[in-house]
Amino acid sequence: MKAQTLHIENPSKELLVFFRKLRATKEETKAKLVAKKDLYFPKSK
Amino acid sequence: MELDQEITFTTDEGYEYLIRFTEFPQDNFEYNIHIMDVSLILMSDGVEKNSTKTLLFFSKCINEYLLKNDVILYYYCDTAEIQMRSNRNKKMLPQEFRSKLFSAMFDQKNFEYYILKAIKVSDPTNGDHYLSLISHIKNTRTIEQIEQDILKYNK
Repeated sequence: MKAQTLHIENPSKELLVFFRKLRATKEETKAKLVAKKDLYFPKSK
Repeated sequence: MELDQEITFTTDEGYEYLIRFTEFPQDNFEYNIHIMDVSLILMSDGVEKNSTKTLLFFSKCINEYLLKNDVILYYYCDTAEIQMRSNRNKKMLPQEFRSKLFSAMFDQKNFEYYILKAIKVSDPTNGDHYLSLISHIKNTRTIEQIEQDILKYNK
């Protein structure tokens, strides 16, 4: 299956705000999860 | 059925990953199908470097999830550094490279029952955004509708 690409070359301000917010939210979530890494990957004693 | 799921995975090289499926809130959209975010989160320190075996594991997890759940998955490509081949002619952004890797993961004969769409949104200020949508081919019309809705925001 070949992926087809849709390129939004001139996004509206609204769309850019949406994607920038999505990126920021995902980065924030990732940082929170990495901070809790020991819960996901407990160190063996 | 619980759609939110987390899977932990350690690669042969020792990288620790969290594969996370979480529902995208459709406050402003109505697609009559659950839209789920899939994140492939490197929990270890250092620069991400994926072996073929690791990529195959990611595609296996996503395939198993989609076989169990009739949803549309989206993968928003992270901007964190990722190791690319040094002999690559064209310098790529990490998110662009991830987008290509994600497409390559499903560019196989045994995934012909899926539809995969990659979306690139140019952002000269903050770096381009790359997103992939994947679902069973029976949801092709909904994915096309999402594309059309995004296209409305192309000036």
